[in-house]
Amino acid sequence: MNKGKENKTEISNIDFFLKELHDEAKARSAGAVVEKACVGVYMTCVENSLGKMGVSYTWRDENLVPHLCRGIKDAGNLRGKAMGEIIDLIDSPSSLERSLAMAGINSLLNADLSMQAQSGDMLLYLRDNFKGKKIAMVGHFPFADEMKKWAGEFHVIEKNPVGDDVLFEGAGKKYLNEADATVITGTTILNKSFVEVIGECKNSFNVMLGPTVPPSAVLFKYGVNAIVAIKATDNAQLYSSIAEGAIVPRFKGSEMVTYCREKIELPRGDFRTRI
Amino acid sequence: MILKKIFEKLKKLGNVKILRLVIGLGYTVAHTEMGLGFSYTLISRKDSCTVNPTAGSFAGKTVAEAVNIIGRDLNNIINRTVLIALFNSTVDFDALRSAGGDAVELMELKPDDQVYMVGYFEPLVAAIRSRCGNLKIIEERHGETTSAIDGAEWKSTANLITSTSLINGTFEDIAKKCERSRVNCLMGPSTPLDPELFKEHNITFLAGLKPLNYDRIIEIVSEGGGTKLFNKHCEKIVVKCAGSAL
Repeated sequence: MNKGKENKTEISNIDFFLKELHDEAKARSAGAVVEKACVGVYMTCVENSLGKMGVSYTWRDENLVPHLCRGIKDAGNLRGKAMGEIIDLIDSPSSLERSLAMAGINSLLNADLSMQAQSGDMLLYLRDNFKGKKIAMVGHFPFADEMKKWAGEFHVIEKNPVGDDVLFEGAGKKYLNEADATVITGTTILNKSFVEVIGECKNSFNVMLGPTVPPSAVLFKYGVNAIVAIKATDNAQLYSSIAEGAIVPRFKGSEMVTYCREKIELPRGDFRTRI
Repeated sequence: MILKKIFEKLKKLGNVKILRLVIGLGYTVAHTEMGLGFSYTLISRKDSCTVNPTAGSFAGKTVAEAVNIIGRDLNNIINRTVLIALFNSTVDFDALRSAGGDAVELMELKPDDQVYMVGYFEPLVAAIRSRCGNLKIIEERHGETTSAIDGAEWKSTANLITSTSLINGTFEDIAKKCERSRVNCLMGPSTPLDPELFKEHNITFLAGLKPLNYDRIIEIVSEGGGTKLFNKHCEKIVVKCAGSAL
């Protein structure tokens, strides 16, 4: 009974978080329409009529081949659609529609950034400040091996574990509770586990990183210390990369930018060049 | 191996430029100076770490340059997908003799035929069942795979084979099992409409698509749309392979 109550609370918490994110983007959406959208094999992107692009991981229903996933209702007719309609899909039962909505939200947030962006290499920052300490990673990032080399203790918490990865339920929660620094994938927003995950990262420096991560101060309220997100510098190039199946390290026409709750000194560089 | 043949044929096209490449969620389309070609994007979530190291750099390259890159690893599912889409973009439709648009009609199925459908072509099931009662659907999610059926147990007289078999590497095995059958049709948007490729296999018909409205097709595939949507912008083409008995 209690467990049921807890689950209900978690569901409403994530819904509340998504609503906050959605409302922040909606405030920037007046008159904006979809200019171009690509639901790529790995990544999704939306370019809005304000000239800004947003990206999201293409989150597919687990264990389903593409043609068996719940699709995007208006696929093929997205151009010209009101951005407001696109971002409303953040609550859709279709994981593909949620991915599209997330890219739409990111495109709108990029159109009017209230936060100061920093450039630099977040992974080097973490190495310099947390070497020998307990590091947790939520989602198996391609730089896991790099972090493992300097971490005192290193654990990957993953929904589809590979190798030594662990599941969130069980060992994962314990590692998050004990971590000094945690790197969290933005796909936790798409699979609706974000609030539950960040809730276990009470004592660590929390970095939310990846293509899906929204440049929004809403994340800070939930305990995120730093946001490392994708910003398009050339929409056409980034679109082409995504259409051709690139993942973050191969993205062209983009930079990784950092937004911090409190300003930090980031070492120069872009960690993507090492992957 | 069919893929190797496709690879060698494409190599000869040298300076043809790739204009756009979209590896969409459901399908892949390659738009070259010669035309537009489809391929099924056969990637499940477990393949998510299959990364295309040259992603973002195909558009603007020549077919020869692309084939060089793809040729480094033909086991890579993305490379095979792009290879087939590129090849299909080079089909010379003016030189093709279409046998018609309705593959099931052309196969002349009889009531006593035993039909195997490799891959699930849902819209064709009723048409086949109205002609003969013996239809077996072989697909993983229907609980059966072609590799699980021994050659001696393959009892069909007619086969509809998904061209996705070219991408997942099962085509040769399936074609071998079908070689005693009366009529075999390779079908789907990925089908290379080039009978010469299949002359060593007992393939009677190739049923594929002739793309008409390139911009709309690219838009649909980019936005995650599938056959129901882009079929409206294509013409169905069935090509008869030389030497077939039908």
